[in-house]
Amino acid sequence: MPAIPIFDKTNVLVTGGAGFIGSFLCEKLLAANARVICADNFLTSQESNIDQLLKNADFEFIRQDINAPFDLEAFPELARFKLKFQGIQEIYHLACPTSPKKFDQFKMQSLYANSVGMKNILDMAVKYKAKVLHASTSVVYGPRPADGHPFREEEYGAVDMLSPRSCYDEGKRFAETCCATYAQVHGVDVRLARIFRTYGPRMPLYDGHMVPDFIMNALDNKDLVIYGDETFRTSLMYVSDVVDGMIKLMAAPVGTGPVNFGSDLDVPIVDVAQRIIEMTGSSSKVTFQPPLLFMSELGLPDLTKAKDKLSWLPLVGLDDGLKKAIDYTVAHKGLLGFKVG
Amino acid sequence: MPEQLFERRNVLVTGGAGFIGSQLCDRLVREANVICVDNFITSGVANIDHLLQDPNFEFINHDITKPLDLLAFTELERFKVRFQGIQEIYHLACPISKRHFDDFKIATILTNSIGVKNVLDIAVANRAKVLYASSSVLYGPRRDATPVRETDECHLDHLTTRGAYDEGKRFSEAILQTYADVYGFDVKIARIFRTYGPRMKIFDGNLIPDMVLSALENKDITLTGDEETRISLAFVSDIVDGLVRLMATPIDVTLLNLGSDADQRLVSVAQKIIEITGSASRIRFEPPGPYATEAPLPDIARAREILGWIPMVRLDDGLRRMIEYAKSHRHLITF
Repeated sequence: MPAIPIFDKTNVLVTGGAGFIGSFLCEKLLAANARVICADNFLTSQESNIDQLLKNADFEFIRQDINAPFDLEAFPELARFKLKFQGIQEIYHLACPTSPKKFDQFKMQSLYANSVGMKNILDMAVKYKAKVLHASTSVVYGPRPADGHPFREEEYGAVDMLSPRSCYDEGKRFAETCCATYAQVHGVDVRLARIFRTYGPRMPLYDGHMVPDFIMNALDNKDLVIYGDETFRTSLMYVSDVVDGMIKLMAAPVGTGPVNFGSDLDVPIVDVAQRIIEMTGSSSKVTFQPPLLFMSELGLPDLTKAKDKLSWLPLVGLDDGLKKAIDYTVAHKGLLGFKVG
Repeated sequence: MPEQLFERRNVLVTGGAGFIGSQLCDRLVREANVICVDNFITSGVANIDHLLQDPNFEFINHDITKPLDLLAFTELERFKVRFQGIQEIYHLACPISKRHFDDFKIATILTNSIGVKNVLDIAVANRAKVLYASSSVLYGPRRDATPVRETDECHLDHLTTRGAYDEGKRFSEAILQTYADVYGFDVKIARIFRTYGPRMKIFDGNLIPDMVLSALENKDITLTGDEETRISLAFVSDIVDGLVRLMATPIDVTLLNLGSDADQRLVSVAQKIIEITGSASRIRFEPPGPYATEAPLPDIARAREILGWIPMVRLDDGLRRMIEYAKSHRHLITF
C-alpha cells in the first residue's frame, strides 16, 4: 500500500492468475478490497478457475502471454482501472508453466517465462514503481538433501543446470537473479516467495500431481497411482496457507529477502493416498509407476524466517485440507476432467 | 573463386572484437569465413582493426540481445550465407568489465538469457554447431586447493551483486542444454578459467594488466590476499586453441574445463613481472573485499583426454607478451 493512500482501491496485477494458486490469490485480493487484473494464457491453467470472478466489477481478465511485451494501458477492458493515473501498486508474478506429465512440451516456454517473461514484469514494475512478489519455488535449493535438513533461505542451493529439468530449476534461480539485479539497478521493491509443494482444489487433473488424481480416482473406485515407490515422501501445504503467506510477504517491510512457504511435515505419499481412500470410503487400491522427471520428492522448508518476520505458519492440517479438496472435487466432479492429457 | 565456396565454412563469432574473441577470429580466419559480431560494449575496434581488410573476415556491429538476421546484411553476400548457411557459431558475447560491472548489469542479464536464445535460434535455423564460452565463476568461489571437475556441484549465491554474471552463466548453460534436448543439436560448453594475454583491457581493474602497469611505472604492486594467495592463469592462445579443438569434437562431447591447473602463487607472478620489466616496484598486500573471491583451480583431465589439449605457454613467455602489449598500448586511449 502506498504511504499516502490516494485511491480508493489498490490496483494489483496477478500473472498466472488463472492457475491453481493464482486463482485463489485473486479471490483473496478481491476480498481484501483490491482491484485485480488477472493475466494468463491458459498454457497450464484453465478458464474455469476464474469463472466465478469474471462478474466481479473489481476483476478483469486479460489473455496475455507474458513473454510477449505488453502494455496494460492498451487494453480497453482495463480502462475502468484508470491505469494512466492510478498506476499499478502491486504485481504478483506467478506465471510459469508447470506440468509434471507434459514437462517436455513446455521446456522452451519455461525458459522464456523465467527470462523474457520475468524481464517484462520487472520492466512493468519499474514503469509503475510497483512492488513485485515473485512466486519462486523450493527447487531453487536443489533436490532433497541426503541429510534431510530443512532448507534455510540463506542457503546457496545446488541445482544441476545441465539436467533435463534445468529450464525450470535453473530458470527459477535465474528469475530470482533477475529480481535481485533489478532491485540493485532500478531499486525495484521485490519479494521472493519460495513456495514448497502445495495442494488443494483446482490443481490440474491427470497431469501427474498425484493428490488431485488420488481424490478423483478414489471417488471413482479406481487405482491410486503413485509415481515412485513406498518411500516417496513429500511435504504438502494447503493452498490457502500459501496465499496468506504471499499477501503477508507483500505487506512486509522492504528488504525482507526470500521467504520459504511450505509445510515442514514430511509425509509418505502412500499415507496420503490411504487417507484419501479412507475419507472417501473408497474401495480403490494404491499402485506404483515409475517416477516422473518433474515429480520429485523435494526438500522441506525451514520456516523460522516466515514465523519471525511474517508471523506465518501453515494452519490447515492435512486432514482438513484433504477434506476441502475432496468436497470441491465432489461438487465439481461433473465439470472436472475436461482438460485431460 | 566460386568453386572454392564450400571449402571454407562460414563461422559466426559473437563477442569477436573482445580479448579472447578477436584472437579466436585471428585463428579462424586462416581456414574459414569469419563473421564477427560485436557491439563494443566492453570490447574495442582496435582488436580487429588488422582483420577488417581480410576478405575472409566481416564485422557486424550488432547487440546480440536483439534478434540477428544475417541475411539482412549486404556485406555478408560474398559469404553466400543464404545458400551455404552457417556451420559453426562461437558464442563469446557477454559484457565483462571489472571496473564498470555495475553499469552493465542489466545488459549482462539480457545477454545471458535473450542473447543466448537469439544465438541458438540462428543455430537452429542453420543447423550449426554452437560453442558457448562459459566461465569458471559458476563453480562458485574457491574453497580449497582441490581442482573442480565438470561434474562437480556448483554452489554460489545467486542473489549477490555479481549474480547477473555468475548465475547468468549458469542459466546460459541451462538454455543450451534445453535447446540440445528439444532440437537435438550439437552444443559445446567451454568453462574458461582465468585467462590473460595481449588485448586484455589494461585500464579495467584486471589483475595481470594492473600489475604490469604498476611495474612499468615503478609503483607499488598491491596484491589482494597474502603470500599464500594462489591463482590459475591460462595464456589466451592456449584457450583459443582449446576452443577450436572443442568445436571439432563429435556430438557426444559437450562440456569441458579450459584453464591452467598450475596453481601459481600470486606473489611469484608479481615478482616475475617486476623482474621482466626491471621495475623498482615493491609488493604490498591488502585484505580481500567482500566479493573478491578467487575461482577454483580447474581439473583439466577431460580436456587432456578428449582434445589432447594442455596449456602450452609458459608463464614467463606469456607474461613477456603481456608486458610487450601493455608497453605499446598503455599510452593509447583506444576504447
